[in-house]
Amino acid sequence: MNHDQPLEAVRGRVEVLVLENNPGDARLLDAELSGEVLIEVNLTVAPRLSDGLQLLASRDFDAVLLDLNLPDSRGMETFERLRAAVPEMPLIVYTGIHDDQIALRALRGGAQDYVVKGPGNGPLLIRAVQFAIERHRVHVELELRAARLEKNRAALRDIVEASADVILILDRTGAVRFVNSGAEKMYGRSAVDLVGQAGGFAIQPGTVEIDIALPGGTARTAEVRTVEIEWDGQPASLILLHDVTERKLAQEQALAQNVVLEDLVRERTAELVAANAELEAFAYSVSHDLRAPLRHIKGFTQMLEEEAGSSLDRSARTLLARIPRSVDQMGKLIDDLLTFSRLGICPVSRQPVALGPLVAEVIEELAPEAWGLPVEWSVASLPALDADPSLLRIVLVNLLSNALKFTRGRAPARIHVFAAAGSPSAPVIAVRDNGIGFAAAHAGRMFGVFQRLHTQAEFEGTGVGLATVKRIVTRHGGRIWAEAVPGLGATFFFSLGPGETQPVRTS
Amino acid sequence: MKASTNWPVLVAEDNPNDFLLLEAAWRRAGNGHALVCEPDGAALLQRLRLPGMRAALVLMDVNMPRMNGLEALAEMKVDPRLDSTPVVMFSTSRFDRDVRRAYQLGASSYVVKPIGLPELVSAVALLRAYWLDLIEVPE
Repeated sequence: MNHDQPLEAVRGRVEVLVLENNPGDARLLDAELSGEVLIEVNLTVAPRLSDGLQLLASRDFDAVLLDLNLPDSRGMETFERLRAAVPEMPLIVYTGIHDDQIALRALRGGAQDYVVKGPGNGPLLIRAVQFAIERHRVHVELELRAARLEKNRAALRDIVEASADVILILDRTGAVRFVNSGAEKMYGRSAVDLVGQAGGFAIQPGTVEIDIALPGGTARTAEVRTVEIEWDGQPASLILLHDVTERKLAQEQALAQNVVLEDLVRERTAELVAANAELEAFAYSVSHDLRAPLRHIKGFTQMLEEEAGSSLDRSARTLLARIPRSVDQMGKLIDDLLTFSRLGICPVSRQPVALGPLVAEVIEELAPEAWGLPVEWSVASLPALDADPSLLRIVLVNLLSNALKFTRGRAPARIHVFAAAGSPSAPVIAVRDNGIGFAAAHAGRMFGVFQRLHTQAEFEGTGVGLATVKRIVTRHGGRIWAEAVPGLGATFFFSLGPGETQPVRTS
Repeated sequence: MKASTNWPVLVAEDNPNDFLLLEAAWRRAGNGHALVCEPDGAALLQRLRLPGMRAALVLMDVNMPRMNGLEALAEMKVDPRLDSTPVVMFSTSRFDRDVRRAYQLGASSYVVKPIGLPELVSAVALLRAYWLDLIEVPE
């Protein structure tokens, strides 16, 4: 104990109880202590232990200076009784007894100090009182802190225990130093059994996934997180184990389902592709096989005309002449049907198509079908459409050649191609003619396959054209419809469904 | 050298009616070069491999039983005795796949049989003029 060290903590005024029955000694003490500037010491003197005890019960004191030999108590008994009465009070023994044994006993018993009475002890005493009080305060503070610490520890412990996860602390050798209840459950043993045993864990840094075989044979998968910590002052590993078996199972199931689904999709797609290819081949070979006899019929008929025609009369020759025409008709029908059937399955590859130039092209192509008669074409400014170019061409060829056909009686034939009202993303294209038109009752039927509103004698045609157009328009997600006034003309409208690109207005 | 008029033109064609029409057109289109018909690719190859056989031209249909035209063509092109004989595919098949494959396999050209006798005669006349009168063939 270094009495020369200055202490900041104790300042101001301290109340000291002095148990001293010798008035002279008391006066001396007072004199010694009152001159002190560092702290003001207020002495209260009690000549007997019983007085002192009484005072202690009624007032607050910071420290007690006691003489061991009092009228009602002697030696260590004084100290012990006092200590029992005020266990927290800093006690300084201030006595004439110069006995090391007693001093030792007093100090062991909790006395802050043991000072032998003598002259010039003032500063010593002050120091002793200061130290005593300070030590006491520190002691109280320490106890408070310890209590707080213990509370925190208890709270943390509760958290650790409440966790469903397994928490382990292993020392450097891999032996268990701490387990929570989750760990006890996992191992099937109590904490007491486990401490000191090998944890059975390879200590790996960071977070890993491991498989654990539990006692009882079940296998679980766990996410293990290892953190380096200090435990009891030694480097140790904190292991947090989170059971992910369920989650993994769910994940694996989802994955397996995905694989199954993907396989299914792949299978279906392959089936579809195969079916399409089959259809295509079938359609082609059917039309091919149907054409062969046509070829022969036409060829032999023409041979007959050449080789035997001179020996036939007029009506016979006329009959013969009809045959090739029928064959051509059949040939065209087969072509149209083949196109039509292909349209159901062929890929539609859309791109922006400038309508204006395409219409101009088709009009030129169709010139022969006008049969040399005058036709007034008027083509308005047309937008670009997002469509398959070759399919769009088929639509235009059909609609425009129909217009030509049904305006054949007119002088002049007037055919007007224009953009009707529609939204910018789905413009409506119209083809209007001044031909013979049709009755509203037929408007729906017209677009069916083999639906013809006229005899072959009136107007040639296979009855597939409009059905073809409708199919193309439908495959583009669009609509086709027609209006007409019988005898005055007809207008055919169509619009295409949305594509990937927005059509841009061009002239 | 030019093809000799003695050399026949071999036709691989399984349909007798088609061959009949072809013969009629052939007669009307010119002289020389007899037409010989075989009903499938295998028979054609057999005929081509006969000793002393030298064909001026092969008109090859595509769709035939037993061995089709494309298969026969492929075999001709790996046979050193036959690989320089001109082969013109003469077929009703307009199938793009067939056309492409034929050229890939080494056909000299591909002609789709026209319908109608006058058209057939025109086509045959063109073929004769080009393949038999104009072009050179190896010795």
